[in-house]
Amino acid sequence: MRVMILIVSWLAVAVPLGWGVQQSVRKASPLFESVPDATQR
Amino acid sequence: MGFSADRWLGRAATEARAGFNRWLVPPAAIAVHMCIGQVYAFSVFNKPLATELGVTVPQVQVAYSIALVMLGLSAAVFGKWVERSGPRKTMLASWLCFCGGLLLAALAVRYQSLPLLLGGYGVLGGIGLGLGYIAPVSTLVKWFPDRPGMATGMAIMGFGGGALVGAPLALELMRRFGEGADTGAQVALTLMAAIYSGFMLFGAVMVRVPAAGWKPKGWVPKETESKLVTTASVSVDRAWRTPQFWLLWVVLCMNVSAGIGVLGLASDMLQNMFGVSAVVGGGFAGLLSIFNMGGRFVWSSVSDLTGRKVVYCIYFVLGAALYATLPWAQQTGNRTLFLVCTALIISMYGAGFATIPAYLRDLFGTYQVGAIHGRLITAWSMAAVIGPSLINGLYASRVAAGVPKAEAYNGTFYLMCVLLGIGLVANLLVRPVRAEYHVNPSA
Repeated sequence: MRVMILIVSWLAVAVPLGWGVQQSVRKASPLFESVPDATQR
Repeated sequence: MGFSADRWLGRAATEARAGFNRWLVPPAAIAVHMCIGQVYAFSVFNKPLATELGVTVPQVQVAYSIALVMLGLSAAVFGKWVERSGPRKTMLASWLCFCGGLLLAALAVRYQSLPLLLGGYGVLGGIGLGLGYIAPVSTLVKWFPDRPGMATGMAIMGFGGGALVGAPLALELMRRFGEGADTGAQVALTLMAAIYSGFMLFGAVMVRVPAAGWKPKGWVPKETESKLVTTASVSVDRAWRTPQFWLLWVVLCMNVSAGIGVLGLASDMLQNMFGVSAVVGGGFAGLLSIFNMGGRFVWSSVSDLTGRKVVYCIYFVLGAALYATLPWAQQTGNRTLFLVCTALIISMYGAGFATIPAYLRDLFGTYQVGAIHGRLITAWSMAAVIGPSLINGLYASRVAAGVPKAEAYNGTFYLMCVLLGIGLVANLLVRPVRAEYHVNPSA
Protein backbone atom coordinates (compact mmCIF):
# COMPACT_ATOMS: atom_id res chain seq x y z
CA MET A 1 0.00 0.00 0.00
CA ARG A 2 2.80 2.41 0.93
CA VAL A 3 4.63 1.70 -2.32
CA MET A 4 1.39 2.24 -4.23
CA ILE A 5 0.89 5.66 -2.63
CA LEU A 6 4.48 6.55 -3.47
CA ILE A 7 4.07 5.55 -7.13
CA VAL A 8 0.72 7.35 -7.50
CA SER A 9 2.14 10.50 -5.87
CA TRP A 10 5.07 10.66 -8.25
CA LEU A 11 2.85 9.91 -11.25
CA ALA A 12 0.52 12.72 -10.21
CA VAL A 13 3.28 15.26 -10.81
CA ALA A 14 5.29 13.44 -13.47
CA VAL A 15 2.39 13.09 -15.93
CA PRO A 16 1.50 16.82 -16.17
CA LEU A 17 5.17 17.83 -16.21
CA GLY A 18 5.88 15.27 -18.91
CA TRP A 19 2.97 16.63 -20.93
CA GLY A 20 4.34 20.16 -20.51
CA VAL A 21 7.81 19.09 -21.68
CA GLN A 22 6.30 17.28 -24.68
CA GLN A 23 4.37 20.44 -25.61
CA SER A 24 7.58 22.49 -25.39
CA VAL A 25 9.50 20.00 -27.52
CA ARG A 26 6.73 20.23 -30.12
CA LYS A 27 6.93 24.02 -29.96
CA ALA A 28 10.73 23.88 -30.35
CA SER A 29 10.67 21.51 -33.33
CA PRO A 30 10.56 24.26 -36.04
CA LEU A 31 13.95 25.35 -34.71
CA PHE A 32 15.51 22.12 -35.93
CA GLU A 33 13.49 21.82 -39.12
CA SER A 34 14.48 25.18 -40.57
CA VAL A 35 17.42 25.85 -42.91
CA PRO A 36 20.86 24.92 -41.54
CA ASP A 37 23.14 27.67 -40.28
CA ALA A 38 26.05 29.15 -42.21
CA THR A 39 28.59 26.66 -40.86
CA GLN A 40 26.55 23.66 -41.99
CA ARG A 41 25.85 24.82 -45.50
CA MET B 1 -15.45 19.84 21.46
CA GLY B 2 -14.70 22.86 19.32
CA PHE B 3 -12.90 22.71 15.99
CA SER B 4 -9.29 23.68 16.20
CA ALA B 5 -7.59 24.44 12.88
CA ASP B 6 -4.19 23.84 14.43
CA ARG B 7 -5.20 20.29 15.34
CA TRP B 8 -5.40 19.46 11.63
CA LEU B 9 -3.27 22.06 9.97
CA GLY B 10 -0.60 23.16 12.45
CA ARG B 11 3.04 22.18 12.44
CA ALA B 12 2.51 19.47 15.10
CA ALA B 13 -0.26 17.86 13.05
CA THR B 14 2.07 17.46 10.06
CA GLU B 15 4.93 15.88 11.99
CA ALA B 16 5.81 12.56 10.36
CA ARG B 17 5.48 9.31 12.29
CA ALA B 18 8.41 6.93 12.58
CA GLY B 19 8.98 5.01 9.36
CA PHE B 20 7.52 7.73 7.12
CA ASN B 21 9.02 7.60 3.62
CA ARG B 22 10.59 11.00 2.95
CA TRP B 23 10.28 10.45 -0.83
CA LEU B 24 6.56 11.21 -0.45
CA VAL B 25 7.38 14.85 0.29
CA PRO B 26 8.95 15.88 -3.06
CA PRO B 27 5.75 15.17 -5.06
CA ALA B 28 3.80 17.31 -2.57
CA ALA B 29 6.29 20.15 -3.01
CA ILE B 30 6.45 19.79 -6.79
CA ALA B 31 2.63 19.79 -7.01
CA VAL B 32 2.39 23.19 -5.33
CA HIS B 33 5.29 24.69 -7.27
CA MET B 34 3.97 23.36 -10.57
CA CYS B 35 0.69 25.22 -9.95
CA ILE B 36 2.10 28.55 -8.85
CA GLY B 37 4.66 28.39 -11.70
CA GLN B 38 1.67 29.20 -13.92
CA VAL B 39 2.55 32.84 -13.34
CA TYR B 40 5.37 32.47 -15.89
CA ALA B 41 2.73 31.55 -18.48
CA PHE B 42 0.40 34.46 -17.73
CA SER B 43 1.40 36.12 -21.01
CA VAL B 44 -0.85 33.70 -22.94
CA PHE B 45 -3.79 35.58 -21.37
CA ASN B 46 -2.49 39.02 -22.39
CA LYS B 47 -4.39 39.43 -25.64
CA PRO B 48 -7.58 37.54 -24.64
CA LEU B 49 -7.90 39.54 -21.40
CA ALA B 50 -7.17 42.83 -23.17
CA THR B 51 -9.94 42.01 -25.67
CA GLU B 52 -12.45 40.93 -23.00
CA LEU B 53 -11.77 43.84 -20.66
CA GLY B 54 -11.50 46.44 -23.42
CA VAL B 55 -8.04 47.57 -22.26
CA THR B 56 -4.52 47.46 -23.73
CA VAL B 57 -2.06 44.56 -23.41
CA PRO B 58 0.40 46.62 -21.29
CA GLN B 59 -2.48 47.32 -18.85
CA VAL B 60 -3.12 43.58 -18.52
CA GLN B 61 0.61 42.94 -18.07
CA VAL B 62 0.51 45.09 -14.92
CA ALA B 63 -1.28 42.17 -13.22
CA TYR B 64 1.78 39.98 -13.92
CA SER B 65 4.18 42.60 -12.60
CA ILE B 66 2.10 43.09 -9.43
CA ALA B 67 1.99 39.31 -8.91
CA LEU B 68 5.81 39.06 -9.06
CA VAL B 69 6.28 42.03 -6.72
CA MET B 70 3.77 40.51 -4.29
CA LEU B 71 5.60 37.19 -4.53
CA GLY B 72 8.78 38.83 -3.19
CA LEU B 73 6.97 40.97 -0.61
CA SER B 74 4.76 38.21 0.80
CA ALA B 75 7.67 35.76 0.98
CA ALA B 76 9.66 38.37 2.91
CA VAL B 77 6.81 39.50 5.19
CA PHE B 78 5.20 36.13 5.94
CA GLY B 79 8.42 34.08 6.17
CA LYS B 80 8.36 33.87 9.97
CA TRP B 81 4.65 32.98 9.98
CA VAL B 82 5.40 30.21 7.46
CA GLU B 83 8.07 28.74 9.75
CA ARG B 84 5.76 28.95 12.77
CA SER B 85 2.65 27.58 11.08
CA GLY B 86 4.20 24.70 9.19
CA PRO B 87 3.85 23.75 5.52
CA ARG B 88 0.27 22.43 5.50
CA LYS B 89 -1.36 25.58 6.79
CA THR B 90 0.86 27.65 4.51
CA MET B 91 0.07 25.55 1.45
CA LEU B 92 -3.65 25.90 2.20
CA ALA B 93 -3.27 29.67 2.55
CA SER B 94 -1.33 29.67 -0.73
CA TRP B 95 -4.12 27.66 -2.40
CA LEU B 96 -6.82 30.04 -1.15
CA CYS B 97 -4.91 33.07 -2.39
CA PHE B 98 -3.63 31.70 -5.70
CA CYS B 99 -6.76 29.87 -6.86
CA GLY B 100 -8.88 32.69 -5.39
CA GLY B 101 -6.84 35.05 -7.55
CA LEU B 102 -7.56 32.97 -10.67
CA LEU B 103 -11.29 33.00 -9.85
CA LEU B 104 -11.27 36.77 -9.31
CA ALA B 105 -9.52 37.12 -12.68
CA ALA B 106 -12.38 35.09 -14.21
CA LEU B 107 -14.86 37.42 -12.47
CA ALA B 108 -12.91 40.39 -13.82
CA VAL B 109 -13.67 39.09 -17.33
CA ARG B 110 -17.34 38.63 -16.39
CA TYR B 111 -17.65 42.22 -15.10
CA GLN B 112 -15.02 43.73 -17.46
CA SER B 113 -13.12 45.13 -14.49
CA LEU B 114 -9.39 45.81 -14.74
CA PRO B 115 -9.08 46.70 -11.01
CA LEU B 116 -10.57 43.30 -10.14
CA LEU B 117 -7.95 41.62 -12.34
CA LEU B 118 -5.10 43.61 -10.76
CA GLY B 119 -6.35 43.06 -7.22
CA GLY B 120 -7.35 39.44 -7.79
CA TYR B 121 -4.60 37.89 -9.87
CA GLY B 122 -1.96 40.51 -9.04
CA VAL B 123 -2.29 41.16 -5.31
CA LEU B 124 -4.16 38.12 -3.93
CA GLY B 125 -2.66 35.64 -6.39
CA GLY B 126 0.80 37.14 -5.83
CA ILE B 127 0.53 36.56 -2.07
CA GLY B 128 -0.33 32.94 -2.88
CA LEU B 129 2.82 32.73 -5.00
CA GLY B 130 5.06 33.92 -2.18
CA LEU B 131 3.56 31.57 0.41
CA GLY B 132 3.56 28.61 -1.96
CA TYR B 133 7.12 29.26 -3.06
CA ILE B 134 8.94 29.15 0.28
CA ALA B 135 6.97 26.59 2.33
CA PRO B 136 7.74 23.46 0.24
CA VAL B 137 11.38 24.44 -0.18
CA SER B 138 12.13 24.86 3.52
CA THR B 139 10.33 21.57 4.22
CA LEU B 140 12.43 19.65 1.69
CA VAL B 141 15.66 21.13 3.02
CA LYS B 142 14.79 19.63 6.41
CA TRP B 143 13.97 16.20 4.94
CA PHE B 144 17.14 15.92 2.85
CA PRO B 145 20.10 17.14 4.93
CA ASP B 146 22.25 14.70 2.96
CA ARG B 147 21.19 16.10 -0.47
CA PRO B 148 19.72 19.58 0.07
CA GLY B 149 20.65 20.80 -3.42
CA MET B 150 18.89 17.94 -5.15
CA ALA B 151 15.84 18.31 -2.90
CA THR B 152 15.33 22.03 -3.46
CA GLY B 153 16.18 21.53 -7.13
CA MET B 154 13.22 19.17 -7.46
CA ALA B 155 10.71 21.63 -6.02
CA ILE B 156 12.01 24.64 -7.91
CA MET B 157 12.15 22.56 -11.09
CA GLY B 158 8.40 22.20 -10.55
CA PHE B 159 8.08 26.00 -10.59
CA GLY B 160 9.95 26.15 -13.90
CA GLY B 161 7.76 23.34 -15.20
CA GLY B 162 4.67 25.30 -14.21
CA ALA B 163 5.05 27.50 -17.27
CA LEU B 164 5.47 24.47 -19.52
CA VAL B 165 2.15 23.12 -18.22
CA GLY B 166 0.29 26.40 -17.69
CA ALA B 167 0.74 27.87 -21.19
CA PRO B 168 -0.51 24.93 -23.31
CA LEU B 169 -3.26 24.18 -20.76
CA ALA B 170 -4.60 27.74 -20.95
CA LEU B 171 -4.36 27.81 -24.74
CA GLU B 172 -6.15 24.46 -25.06
CA LEU B 173 -8.95 25.53 -22.69
CA MET B 174 -9.44 28.85 -24.50
CA ARG B 175 -9.48 27.04 -27.85
CA ARG B 176 -12.17 24.64 -26.63
CA PHE B 177 -14.42 27.12 -24.84
CA GLY B 178 -13.84 30.26 -26.89
CA GLU B 179 -16.38 31.03 -29.59
CA GLY B 180 -16.80 34.12 -31.71
CA ALA B 181 -16.24 37.23 -29.60
CA ASP B 182 -15.82 35.11 -26.46
CA THR B 183 -12.09 34.31 -26.09
CA GLY B 184 -12.82 31.56 -23.57
CA ALA B 185 -10.56 33.26 -20.98
CA GLN B 186 -13.26 33.29 -18.29
CA VAL B 187 -13.92 29.55 -18.51
CA ALA B 188 -10.21 28.79 -18.86
CA LEU B 189 -9.34 30.74 -15.69
CA THR B 190 -12.20 29.10 -13.76
CA LEU B 191 -11.23 25.59 -14.86
CA MET B 192 -7.56 26.24 -14.14
CA ALA B 193 -8.51 27.31 -10.60
CA ALA B 194 -10.36 23.99 -10.23
CA ILE B 195 -7.54 21.88 -11.69
CA TYR B 196 -4.84 23.64 -9.67
CA SER B 197 -6.98 23.29 -6.53
CA GLY B 198 -6.75 19.52 -6.90
CA PHE B 199 -2.95 19.58 -7.13
CA MET B 200 -2.41 22.13 -4.35
CA LEU B 201 -4.72 20.33 -1.94
CA PHE B 202 -2.94 17.07 -2.79
CA GLY B 203 0.32 18.78 -1.82
CA ALA B 204 -1.14 20.13 1.44
CA VAL B 205 -2.50 16.70 2.44
CA MET B 206 0.68 14.80 1.59
CA VAL B 207 3.25 17.15 3.12
CA ARG B 208 4.94 16.25 6.41
CA VAL B 209 7.69 17.77 8.51
CA PRO B 210 10.37 15.62 10.15
CA ALA B 211 10.37 15.22 13.93
CA ALA B 212 12.91 17.32 15.82
CA GLY B 213 16.35 15.76 15.61
CA TRP B 214 15.36 13.40 12.77
CA LYS B 215 18.15 12.27 10.45
CA PRO B 216 18.14 9.96 7.42
CA LYS B 217 18.89 6.39 8.43
CA GLY B 218 22.62 5.76 8.58
CA TRP B 219 23.54 9.33 7.65
CA VAL B 220 26.25 11.15 9.56
CA PRO B 221 27.44 14.59 8.51
CA LYS B 222 30.84 14.32 6.83
CA GLU B 223 33.67 15.50 9.04
CA THR B 224 35.51 16.83 6.02
CA GLU B 225 32.51 18.93 4.99
CA SER B 226 33.26 22.51 4.03
CA LYS B 227 33.58 25.11 6.78
CA LEU B 228 30.75 26.94 5.05
CA VAL B 229 28.31 24.20 6.08
CA THR B 230 27.15 24.94 9.60
CA THR B 231 25.42 22.77 12.16
CA ALA B 232 24.45 25.90 14.12
CA SER B 233 21.23 27.91 13.73
CA VAL B 234 20.75 31.54 12.77
CA SER B 235 17.35 33.22 13.12
CA VAL B 236 15.92 35.29 10.30
CA ASP B 237 16.19 38.49 12.35
CA ARG B 238 19.91 37.92 12.82
CA ALA B 239 20.58 36.44 9.38
CA TRP B 240 19.69 39.56 7.47
CA ARG B 241 22.14 41.57 9.56
CA THR B 242 25.03 39.38 8.42
CA PRO B 243 27.23 40.29 5.42
CA GLN B 244 26.67 36.75 4.11
CA PHE B 245 22.95 37.42 3.60
CA TRP B 246 23.64 40.51 1.50
CA LEU B 247 26.43 38.81 -0.44
CA LEU B 248 24.00 36.02 -1.37
CA TRP B 249 21.41 38.69 -2.21
CA VAL B 250 23.87 40.14 -4.75
CA VAL B 251 24.76 36.63 -5.99
CA LEU B 252 21.08 35.83 -6.70
CA CYS B 253 20.29 39.27 -8.10
CA MET B 254 23.21 39.21 -10.57
CA ASN B 255 22.63 35.61 -11.64
CA VAL B 256 18.93 36.24 -12.28
CA SER B 257 19.50 39.63 -13.96
CA ALA B 258 21.91 38.05 -16.43
CA GLY B 259 19.45 35.33 -17.43
CA ILE B 260 16.06 36.99 -17.24
CA GLY B 261 16.85 39.52 -19.97
CA VAL B 262 17.67 36.78 -22.47
CA LEU B 263 14.74 34.59 -21.47
CA GLY B 264 12.18 37.34 -22.06
CA LEU B 265 13.68 38.41 -25.40
CA ALA B 266 14.74 35.02 -26.75
CA SER B 267 12.36 34.90 -29.69
CA ASP B 268 13.03 38.48 -30.85
CA MET B 269 16.76 38.03 -30.37
CA LEU B 270 17.02 35.00 -32.64
CA GLN B 271 14.83 36.67 -35.27
CA ASN B 272 16.91 39.86 -35.27
CA MET B 273 20.33 38.18 -35.07
CA PHE B 274 19.84 35.33 -37.53
CA GLY B 275 16.86 36.50 -39.58
CA VAL B 276 14.69 33.48 -38.75
CA SER B 277 10.87 33.48 -38.78
CA ALA B 278 8.65 34.16 -35.73
CA VAL B 279 7.70 30.45 -35.62
CA VAL B 280 11.36 29.43 -35.33
CA GLY B 281 11.89 32.20 -32.76
CA GLY B 282 9.00 30.76 -30.74
CA GLY B 283 10.62 27.34 -30.99
CA PHE B 284 13.77 28.85 -29.49
CA ALA B 285 11.75 30.13 -26.51
CA GLY B 286 10.31 26.62 -26.10
CA LEU B 287 13.78 25.08 -26.11
CA LEU B 288 15.03 27.55 -23.50
CA SER B 289 12.09 26.82 -21.20
CA ILE B 290 13.08 23.14 -21.13
CA PHE B 291 16.66 24.03 -20.19
CA ASN B 292 15.36 26.52 -17.61
CA MET B 293 13.43 23.69 -15.97
CA GLY B 294 16.05 20.94 -16.32
CA GLY B 295 18.94 23.13 -15.15
CA ARG B 296 17.21 23.66 -11.83
CA PHE B 297 17.40 19.99 -10.96
CA VAL B 298 20.68 19.04 -12.64
CA TRP B 299 22.91 21.92 -11.47
CA SER B 300 21.38 21.98 -8.00
CA SER B 301 22.11 18.25 -7.64
CA VAL B 302 25.67 18.88 -8.84
CA SER B 303 26.04 21.42 -6.01
CA ASP B 304 25.70 18.58 -3.49
CA LEU B 305 28.92 17.14 -4.90
CA THR B 306 30.90 20.33 -5.51
CA GLY B 307 29.61 22.54 -2.70
CA ARG B 308 27.50 25.65 -3.19
CA LYS B 309 30.30 28.18 -3.49
CA VAL B 310 32.04 26.22 -6.25
CA VAL B 311 28.87 25.67 -8.26
CA TYR B 312 28.02 29.40 -8.19
CA CYS B 313 31.59 30.12 -9.37
CA ILE B 314 30.84 27.77 -12.30
CA TYR B 315 27.57 29.62 -13.03
CA PHE B 316 29.37 32.97 -13.11
CA VAL B 317 32.62 32.01 -14.90
CA LEU B 318 31.06 29.64 -17.44
CA GLY B 319 28.09 32.00 -17.88
CA ALA B 320 30.38 34.96 -18.66
CA ALA B 321 32.46 32.83 -21.05
CA LEU B 322 29.30 31.74 -22.87
CA TYR B 323 27.97 35.31 -23.08
CA ALA B 324 31.33 36.43 -24.50
CA THR B 325 31.02 33.72 -27.17
CA LEU B 326 27.60 34.88 -28.41
CA PRO B 327 28.81 37.89 -30.48
CA TRP B 328 31.30 35.62 -32.25
CA ALA B 329 28.53 33.08 -32.94
CA GLN B 330 26.45 35.88 -34.44
CA GLN B 331 29.31 37.27 -36.56
CA THR B 332 30.16 33.83 -38.01
CA GLY B 333 26.48 32.94 -38.49
CA ASN B 334 26.90 29.84 -36.31
CA ARG B 335 23.35 29.37 -35.08
CA THR B 336 24.03 25.98 -33.49
CA LEU B 337 26.75 27.47 -31.29
CA PHE B 338 24.38 30.31 -30.37
CA LEU B 339 21.66 27.83 -29.36
CA VAL B 340 24.02 25.69 -27.27
CA CYS B 341 25.46 28.73 -25.46
CA THR B 342 22.08 30.32 -24.68
CA ALA B 343 20.59 26.98 -23.57
CA LEU B 344 23.47 26.51 -21.11
CA ILE B 345 23.15 30.12 -19.89
CA ILE B 346 19.44 29.63 -19.21
CA SER B 347 20.07 26.30 -17.47
CA MET B 348 22.33 28.17 -15.03
CA TYR B 349 19.78 30.98 -14.64
CA GLY B 350 17.21 28.44 -13.40
CA ALA B 351 19.88 26.74 -11.33
CA GLY B 352 20.59 29.99 -9.49
CA PHE B 353 17.07 29.89 -8.03
CA ALA B 354 17.27 26.21 -7.18
CA THR B 355 20.65 26.23 -5.46
CA ILE B 356 20.17 29.30 -3.26
CA PRO B 357 17.99 27.63 -0.55
CA ALA B 358 20.68 24.98 -0.04
CA TYR B 359 23.34 27.72 0.14
CA LEU B 360 21.24 29.47 2.82
CA ARG B 361 20.85 26.21 4.71
CA ASP B 362 24.65 25.70 4.58
CA LEU B 363 25.31 29.15 6.06
CA PHE B 364 22.38 29.67 8.44
CA GLY B 365 21.16 26.13 9.28
CA THR B 366 17.64 24.79 8.82
CA TYR B 367 16.02 26.60 11.79
CA GLN B 368 14.37 29.49 9.90
CA VAL B 369 15.73 28.83 6.42
CA GLY B 370 12.28 29.36 4.83
CA ALA B 371 11.93 32.82 6.33
CA ILE B 372 15.50 33.76 5.34
CA HIS B 373 14.81 32.46 1.82
CA GLY B 374 11.67 34.60 1.77
CA ARG B 375 13.65 37.76 2.44
CA LEU B 376 16.31 36.85 -0.11
CA ILE B 377 13.67 36.51 -2.83
CA THR B 378 13.44 40.31 -2.92
CA ALA B 379 16.66 40.01 -5.00
CA TRP B 380 14.56 38.28 -7.66
CA SER B 381 12.06 41.13 -7.72
CA MET B 382 14.93 43.57 -8.15
CA ALA B 383 16.48 41.45 -10.90
CA ALA B 384 13.15 41.29 -12.72
CA VAL B 385 13.46 45.07 -13.11
CA ILE B 386 17.23 45.32 -13.71
CA GLY B 387 17.68 42.53 -16.30
CA PRO B 388 15.07 43.46 -18.93
CA SER B 389 15.66 47.23 -18.40
CA LEU B 390 19.40 46.90 -19.03
CA ILE B 391 19.10 44.66 -22.06
CA ASN B 392 16.20 46.64 -23.59
CA GLY B 393 17.77 50.02 -22.81
CA LEU B 394 21.21 49.19 -24.20
CA TYR B 395 19.75 47.48 -27.28
CA ALA B 396 17.49 50.47 -28.03
CA SER B 397 20.37 52.96 -27.59
CA ARG B 398 22.65 50.95 -29.91
CA VAL B 399 19.94 50.69 -32.57
CA ALA B 400 19.33 54.45 -32.21
CA ALA B 401 23.10 54.97 -32.67
CA GLY B 402 22.90 53.25 -36.05
CA VAL B 403 24.24 49.79 -35.13
CA PRO B 404 22.57 47.10 -37.32
CA LYS B 405 19.85 45.17 -35.45
CA ALA B 406 21.71 41.88 -35.88
CA GLU B 407 24.75 43.26 -34.04
CA ALA B 408 22.99 45.52 -31.52
CA TYR B 409 22.63 42.75 -28.92
CA ASN B 410 26.39 42.12 -28.75
CA GLY B 411 27.02 45.03 -26.38
CA THR B 412 24.33 43.75 -24.02
CA PHE B 413 26.06 40.36 -23.86
CA TYR B 414 29.25 42.00 -22.60
CA LEU B 415 27.16 43.90 -20.06
CA MET B 416 25.81 40.56 -18.82
CA CYS B 417 29.45 39.42 -18.40
CA VAL B 418 29.99 42.43 -16.11
CA LEU B 419 26.91 41.52 -14.02
CA LEU B 420 28.15 37.95 -13.71
CA GLY B 421 31.57 39.30 -12.70
CA ILE B 422 29.97 41.28 -9.85
CA GLY B 423 28.14 38.12 -8.77
CA LEU B 424 31.40 36.15 -8.84
CA VAL B 425 33.15 38.66 -6.57
CA ALA B 426 30.22 38.59 -4.09
CA ASN B 427 30.29 34.79 -4.10
CA LEU B 428 34.05 34.66 -3.50
CA LEU B 429 33.63 36.97 -0.50
CA VAL B 430 31.23 34.56 1.28
CA ARG B 431 32.73 33.24 4.52
CA PRO B 432 31.17 31.18 7.37
CA VAL B 433 28.75 33.10 9.62
CA ARG B 434 30.42 34.24 12.84
CA ALA B 435 29.35 32.47 16.06
CA GLU B 436 27.96 35.70 17.57
CA TYR B 437 24.99 35.38 15.17
CA HIS B 438 24.12 31.82 16.23
CA VAL B 439 21.03 31.14 18.34
CA ASN B 440 19.72 28.20 20.32
CA PRO B 441 16.34 27.32 18.73
CA SER B 442 15.12 25.41 21.78
CA ALA B 443 15.87 28.30 24.17
